[in-house]
Amino acid sequence: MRRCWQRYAAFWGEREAPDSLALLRITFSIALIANLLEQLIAGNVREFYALPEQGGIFQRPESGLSLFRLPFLRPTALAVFLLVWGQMLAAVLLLVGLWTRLAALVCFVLQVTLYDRMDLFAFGGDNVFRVFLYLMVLSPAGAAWSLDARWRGKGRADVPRWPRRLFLFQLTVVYVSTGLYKIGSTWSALGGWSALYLALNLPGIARWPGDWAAWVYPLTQVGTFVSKWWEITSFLVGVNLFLRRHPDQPGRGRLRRLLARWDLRLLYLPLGVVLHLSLTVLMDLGVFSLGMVSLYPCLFHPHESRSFLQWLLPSSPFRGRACPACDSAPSGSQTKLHTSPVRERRARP
Amino acid sequence: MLAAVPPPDVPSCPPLTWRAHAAALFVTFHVACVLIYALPRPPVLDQDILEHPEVKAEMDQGFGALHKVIPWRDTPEQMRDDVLRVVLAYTRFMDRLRAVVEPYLETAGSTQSWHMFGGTPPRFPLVFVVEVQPRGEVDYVLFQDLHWGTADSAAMNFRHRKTHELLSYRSSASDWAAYAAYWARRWDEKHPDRPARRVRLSYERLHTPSPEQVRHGESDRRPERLADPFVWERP
Repeated sequence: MRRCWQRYAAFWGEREAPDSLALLRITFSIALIANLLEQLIAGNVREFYALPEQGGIFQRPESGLSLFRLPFLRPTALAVFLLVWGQMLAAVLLLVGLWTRLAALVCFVLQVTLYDRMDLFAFGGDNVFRVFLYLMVLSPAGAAWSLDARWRGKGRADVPRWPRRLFLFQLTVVYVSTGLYKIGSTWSALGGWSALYLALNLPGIARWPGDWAAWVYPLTQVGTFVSKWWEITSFLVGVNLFLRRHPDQPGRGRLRRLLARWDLRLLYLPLGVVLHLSLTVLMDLGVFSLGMVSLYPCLFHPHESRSFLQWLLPSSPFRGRACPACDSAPSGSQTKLHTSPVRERRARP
Repeated sequence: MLAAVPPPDVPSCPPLTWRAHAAALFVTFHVACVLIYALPRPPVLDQDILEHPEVKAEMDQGFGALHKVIPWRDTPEQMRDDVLRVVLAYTRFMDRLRAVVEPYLETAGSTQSWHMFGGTPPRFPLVFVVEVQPRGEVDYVLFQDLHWGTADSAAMNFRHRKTHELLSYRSSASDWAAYAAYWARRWDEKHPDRPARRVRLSYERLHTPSPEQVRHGESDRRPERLADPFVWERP
């Protein structure tokens, strides 16, 4: 029992280079900024959040961690604008990685506050931001590719792997439970796989009148089948990543070896991007798809994220890691960052 | 960008510190709470919702087809009742479990349900209708034509459509009144010389034609105005 727990705790205690968390921080904060810009540009901030007498619509009780439970803070027009711009500022700080943890905390508390106030206007994308911002608060996401690493000496050679795994777990929960909710007959042969056709005929949600979908009905049936089973089986990506952790130890069992044989991300990630891109083109759902795709870096290994960031930001001031040694450094080892001040960690035996 | 081979930085196994044990405990607790809370369950399950045209049509089609394949009872209705009994018991059990983990998830802002992404698209979608009776006039004037392609519809933020959907099944009279008052203000801004006296909010139900019907040129959606509109009068 004790040995089982030791192995289990060791699994969660594994460490890795911080690049994937950094990329996740960057993409997710871009999506959060887009979500705020969408509301500001549309001019709906007062409508969504303020009291009716201040240009809002609904007078509803707040709950949870909402700042509006504080006796001195009411959702006046000024207060809601300050909170929205405050979240924007915190999201920009999160993007550049300055006071990263504090910025994530501010983004999270403001997201909960605005979400509770929004209530009848809230949609799934707001839920995604709220739930994943909590995980961002728990993550040392400013340990690389950040101004914290560059200016404040907060760069680290390795970080715990469990925060990224929690992102992966939560992303899997979103997709799998969404897939399991697709139990209606139209998501199966019983209803002729017609769910996507019906969705394309939803006034307002679908961008165009849905008659055109009748002419490509077989394609919509394929789309229905693929999207449902892609979501339900998306947990296989996590299983696949787990089984491929030790390439030199293929593991016992035929099923285990089969599941570990191919990198399933090569199938699931492009398909996910295509599905979300199709959703964005065909349906008016705000930045929902951007928010979901922005979480995909949690599926990348640190060296993959690093390659991508080095390609994207070849001469960026945020570039916190460029040492060749980092590329081959086992997690948990002591590695110096050459281009940024590093908080020294005690060497592990 | 994805590597064909797994990463070289596979972790070593350092001796476990108290932080590693604490992290493992916390992660286990969080994962268990999220799993319990996020397990699928019907958002609403009562007699009223079973009489809803969408739900009724779904039940009839689903259990009719299932009865042809696996007829464990004499009629589809009996099979439906069997399944509903099981679902009800499951929902009650899940509700008890959720109550245990809810305090933590509320605090962590992580209460979650993803049914909005996965639900069954309606066969009979609803279109929201906003009509205004200006002061001193007898007739109502259509203020918002939210059908496809209209200017009103194009100008409508997608979040309003979420509100329309939520108002149709989980809202109070005060929500309806607040939303009607909002449209009255919008009307007044556009027509300062004809201020709104009453606002009437209602739904129009559309019928989605089958692909075959559309291809044969029968794409009429037969809009039908639902009875029982909400009427708000300016105090």
